[in-house]
Amino acid sequence: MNKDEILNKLQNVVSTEPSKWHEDADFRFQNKEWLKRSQCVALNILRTLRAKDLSQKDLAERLGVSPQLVNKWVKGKENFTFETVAKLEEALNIELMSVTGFEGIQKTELKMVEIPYSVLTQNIQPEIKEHSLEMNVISFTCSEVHYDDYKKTI
Amino acid sequence: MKIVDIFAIVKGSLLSVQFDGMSSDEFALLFDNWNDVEYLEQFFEDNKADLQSGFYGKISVEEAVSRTIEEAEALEEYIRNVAKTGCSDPDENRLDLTFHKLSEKDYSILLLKSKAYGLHNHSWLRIYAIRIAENLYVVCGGGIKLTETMNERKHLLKELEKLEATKQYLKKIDLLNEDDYDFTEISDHE
Repeated sequence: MNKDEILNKLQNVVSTEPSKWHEDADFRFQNKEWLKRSQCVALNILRTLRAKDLSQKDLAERLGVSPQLVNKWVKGKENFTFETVAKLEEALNIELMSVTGFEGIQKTELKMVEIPYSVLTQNIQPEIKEHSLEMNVISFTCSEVHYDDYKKTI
Repeated sequence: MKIVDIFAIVKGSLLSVQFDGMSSDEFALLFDNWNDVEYLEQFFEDNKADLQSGFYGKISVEEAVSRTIEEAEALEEYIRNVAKTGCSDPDENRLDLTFHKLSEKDYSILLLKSKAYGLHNHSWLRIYAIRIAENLYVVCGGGIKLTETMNERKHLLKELEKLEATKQYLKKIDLLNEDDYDFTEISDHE
């Protein structure tokens, strides 16, 4: 039987649908840059669970999510949100992703406190004339008024 | 072990069977597994002794997972390109998937000189196929081969069963004569 005869015979037996691989391969090719990061996060989760003798179910319980969702994460195909990464880092006590400048923000330890209106107007008198109270609370959280300075006034 | 369908991977050159009860054909399943971090981490944990036996050098589970994903990506992009363009080398109007014949005696690999296509020299990824005509292959399985021969580990013995089942199926539908086929594998061994 020559190749042409075999190819003719194949036409009758080969599926008219394409292999699922074509779609999968296109997806992996088009999304490879974020998929690599996702795979790296997944591997870190799995190795940490193994090192701490925890199951995927244990992690799901700590996070209040379904075991199915955790299983989806550890396959390395999840486009993680920052929120999910932050929750995972806290639950596992590890760093999963490094973001430029993030360490500096963490060290500043900005705190939100309620300030009596009278104190606020004493400290930043020029600004309160121009902005609403709400605006000044926002500017406080951005460190325009230092928390320590405020504490001294209480 | 029953075959329920055959799919085209590269038209006129590469086909893949789907076994009963499986979610997709063998070729698609292989690349699913080689990109599934959970599957790979468990596989290398289960085969840690082989991984660190020195056949490929001493490699950690983390390195093994990363290496598998990288090698699978290179192999998949190569085959994807062949599937889309119909040829592996723009200068040559033909397909070259660098399959190697498996010795039927002990299923060890015949180390043939192959064209390098950007993969590591000692890739452990294997795609097993039956050659039914010149440059025409039917994929029936594959795996990660950490030992020297195929008949040393359970997961590779399963692949031999799949090769045999595919051979019987192809004979049944009159696509294979008794003496004109080879068991082959895609790899990049030099």
